[in-house]
Amino acid sequence: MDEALAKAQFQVVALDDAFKAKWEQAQKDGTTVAAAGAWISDRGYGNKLGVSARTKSILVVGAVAYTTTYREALARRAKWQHTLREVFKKVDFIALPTLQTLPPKIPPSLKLDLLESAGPGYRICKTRRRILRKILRGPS
Amino acid sequence: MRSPCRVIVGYVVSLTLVWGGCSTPRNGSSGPTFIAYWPPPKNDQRLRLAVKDNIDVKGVVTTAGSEYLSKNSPPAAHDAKCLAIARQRGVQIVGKTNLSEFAVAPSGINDYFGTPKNTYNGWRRLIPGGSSSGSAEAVVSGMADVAFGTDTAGSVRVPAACSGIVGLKTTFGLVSLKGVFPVEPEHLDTVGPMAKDVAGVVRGMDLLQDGFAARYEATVAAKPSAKVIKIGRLNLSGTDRRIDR
Repeated sequence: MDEALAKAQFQVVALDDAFKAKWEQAQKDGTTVAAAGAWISDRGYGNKLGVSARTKSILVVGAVAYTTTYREALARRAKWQHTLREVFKKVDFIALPTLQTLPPKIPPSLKLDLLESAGPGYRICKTRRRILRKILRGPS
Repeated sequence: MRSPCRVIVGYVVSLTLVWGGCSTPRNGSSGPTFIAYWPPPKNDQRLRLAVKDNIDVKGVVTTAGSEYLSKNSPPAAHDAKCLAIARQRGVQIVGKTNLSEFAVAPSGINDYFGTPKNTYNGWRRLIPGGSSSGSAEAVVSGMADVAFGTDTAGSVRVPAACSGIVGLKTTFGLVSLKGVFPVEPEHLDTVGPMAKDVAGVVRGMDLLQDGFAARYEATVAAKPSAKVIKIGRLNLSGTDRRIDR
């Protein structure tokens, strides 16, 4: 990233540790507000058949965030906006990587093979395999 | 006794069906990149736009990546407001893209519709990033020139970064959320464009905010050199050194 910025010949100034601490707090607050918001918006689906366990667990995390840290996170919003306004008096843009690490591999239990490329696709394949078995079995 | 002829025919049928099952999953869509895909006519020169399936397209069920919604929701009665300019300009909407269910997970994994492949690094089977995983892949695969995603806490930016394309989280409130499945619409939900490069994102933004491309050109003309632009570099602890460098 630093190489790309230098190559493009931007004027680069390092932002200090005080700002970094505020950024990290704001990032945590943003995650809290998003998680709580997901619970507020989608909690009605939390007990529905056809909603994945993964999503249901995210909604539970959102419920916890809503009852614990949500209000404090929202309360810090105005102060954070003020901090940002001050920084943008000194710089035109803030640069940092979207991902701090390279994307991880899909966990082994979720690897998609030829016949399990999709939930519904898998079911279709299973049905087709049943039909095929009948065809291949021949007259009984 | 099993006839050899039947076995051969069965084998050929088997190969066809297995292959078909993988390349043509439900709803006639083209694969887990899209939940619904409408191939553009041949030689159609119009801009091809892919729309994340948590944004209403009139006459189509908005699944938000969910089995439950796909089976229990009626087709959208109206287009989402953010599609108004695209419709006005006759842009070719090529389909509705896959996503993490309800747009709440950053991995891009979808247990029901399947997980879009990260073809940028396909052989390594990396996560596509989410929640706008299908929108990113639609752009990478060349099935769309521009894709609309939504971003609450990284849902455009993360899949764009995972796939090596450009994605923009727009300013909250700039683009209408009417007709968009909500995550956190009070403070954070946004609609944003994704494309292979900055020029593509500008074209996408121009579909979300009329006159954007002209303003972008004017801004670039006012500061044509990077030398006059000041960047505040933020180094976060825990960042992979290969990325920071």
